[in-house]
Formats: sequence, structure tokens, C-alpha cells
Amino acid sequence: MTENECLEKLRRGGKHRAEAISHLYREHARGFLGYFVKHRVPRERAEELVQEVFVKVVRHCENFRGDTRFDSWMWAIVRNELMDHFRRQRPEEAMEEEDLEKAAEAAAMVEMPADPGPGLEDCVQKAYAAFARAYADRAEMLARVAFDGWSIEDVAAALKRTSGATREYLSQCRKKLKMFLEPCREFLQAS
Amino acid sequence: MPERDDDQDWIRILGGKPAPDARSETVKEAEALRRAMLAQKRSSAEPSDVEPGLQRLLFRLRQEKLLDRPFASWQTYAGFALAASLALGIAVTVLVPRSPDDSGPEIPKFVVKGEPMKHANDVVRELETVGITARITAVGETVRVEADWPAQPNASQQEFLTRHKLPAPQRGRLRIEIRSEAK
Repeated sequence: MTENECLEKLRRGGKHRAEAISHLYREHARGFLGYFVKHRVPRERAEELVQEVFVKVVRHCENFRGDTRFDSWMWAIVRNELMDHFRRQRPEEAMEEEDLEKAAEAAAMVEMPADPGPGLEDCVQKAYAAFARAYADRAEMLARVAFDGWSIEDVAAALKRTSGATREYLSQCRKKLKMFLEPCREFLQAS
Repeated sequence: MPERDDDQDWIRILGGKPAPDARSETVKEAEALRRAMLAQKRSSAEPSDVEPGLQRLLFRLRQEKLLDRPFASWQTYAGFALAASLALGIAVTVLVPRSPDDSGPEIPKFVVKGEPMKHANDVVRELETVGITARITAVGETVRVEADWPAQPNASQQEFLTRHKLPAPQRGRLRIEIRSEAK
């Protein structure tokens, strides 16, 4: 089912909407669940958050204008749901966008790969895994670029930022990632 | 090559797209990273069963009648919301002065007759009609409504700001504080 077909079915309602939301759930639920779990949300709670995300997709899909990819619009809901989860945990604190990252960082052990491994592939995999543990949100956005072919504008829609701010965000992702890739530098130069 | 262009090449290669003028170091780094990400994805792709969760979702959607609800356009909802606001006749004042302990962007404050929480709920509902999900927190006698604000708000969202004489939200975050008129 293409994105447009899916949207059309969502808007038609009834069995068409059930079919479309089932398709979306099968495509994305695992990814959303993994995102919450990587942010140290307990599994059971993470499953509830996934449910909330899809309910919001149904409730709000009529407001989707089609000026971005539908999956980046859904990811904006996912990130919002995570921030709301953290806010509910600490209602006395005003949760900022940056706190999403801090919460993940605080919970994660920032591990630089001490042993670079036997070769380039192994070293970069370890470096990326450590980066993803420390910066789960950034890793997720990079994953969408790598796996789903997201453009900067698609990332901007998910982050709810301007294109300029998103370019800076992605540039910062690269800088942070470079720290983790440092032990692999020799392998990279020799490759 | 400017750093910004180099970053864009890096993003393109990471996404599996060509970047013919990219520096060789950039190509090596991004390609190695892409391979690592794909390898990690393959190794962590556990075949978990999503069907129970899907059935739970469909059950809830049916219970809440969200599968059959006809979708009206956002303009219709905005019209209802505007009419509701007028009918309530709530006096809303945006206070410009900033409290000395505020840091960051100024938070518009509404002073209302009646219950701030009730008004906050009205605002949240109104925001919902323009596609914005907001949340409410109470701090003492002040109620705060907060929501993520899109970088490029659409017409109905812009109209919401105009209607309430609100300044453009800063840093992608809409914040409104509501308190009751001093007795």
C-alpha cells in the first residue's frame, strides 16, 4: 500500500481505515517500540505509548497536509509522546526539546569502544552502537536517513524544526558520532 | 569545501545516494557508517509478533468510535472552536510585562474570569482542532498550556495565534500561562 493509498483509506473511515491503520501498525510499531525502549521506557509502558501514537495518528490524520512524508509526520507524534511521557514522570519540570536528549544521555553509559576490534567493520559497528546508546534520538533520525531515504526536510518535519536548524542538528550528529569513531580512524584511513 | 557542503555530502552517502564531489574521507566515513547501521539493523531485527498489539489497538479504536467517525475538515472544527470561544465570552488579556524570575522567551499570560483550568481545557481543545497536541500543567494557581509548535504553521494554526493575540512561539514551543483575575 503506498503512502497516498494509506492516507486515502484512513480518511474514508470504516473498514478502509481499519485496513490502513493495520498496515501502518505492521510497518512501524516495532520501530516505534524500539525507539521508546532505547530511551529507557519500560517495555510495558513503551507498548502503551505505541498504542497512544497510533490512536493519535487516527485522530489527527485529517490535519496532515501532505507537505512532508507521512512517516516523518508520524515520527513527530512519536517524539512528542516520548516527551509527554518524561513530563508526566517529572511534572514539576518544564521539559524542553533538549531534555529528550539529556534524559537518554543521563540513562546511558557513554561507552567509547576501548577495543576497536579486528577490522574496520567491527570497529565502526561498535562505535555506532555506543553512539546509539548515548544519543538514541539522534541515532533514530540518522537511521531514518539511512534506511528510509529521508531528506533533510523529512527530518525537519519529524523534529519540528526549520531546514536550517535541522542541518545544524545533523551536523552536530556527525560531530558527536566522530568522537565515537575516533578509535576507528586508522582503519578508515587505510580503507 | 565548506563544512556545511561536506555535511550534506555525508548525509547523502549515509542515505545511499551519490555525492560525486565528496571528499574521500567523507565517503569512507559515511559508507562505513552506513554498512555498520545496516548490519546492526539486520542483527537486531527480532521477529516479534505485532498482531496482539494491533488487535488491542483496533479494539480500542472501535470502542472509541474512531474507525467510523467521519472526518470533517479542520476549517469546520476551527469555526466551532471560534464560536465556542465567543460564546464563553471569556475576557482574555495578554500581559506584556515579564516577571523577573522568568528565563528564556517571554510566556504570554492570560488572565481570565473563572477557572483557569477550564479555560486551559478550552485552549487545548481548540489547539487540537488545528492539529496541535497540547498538555496542561498546574503550578500553584497558574495553569500552563504547552505544545510543540511547527516551524511552518499552517493557516489555521496562524489564525489561532492571531485570534488570541499571541506572539509567534519561540524555539518551536508554544507556552501560555493562565491565571484567574485577582479577586
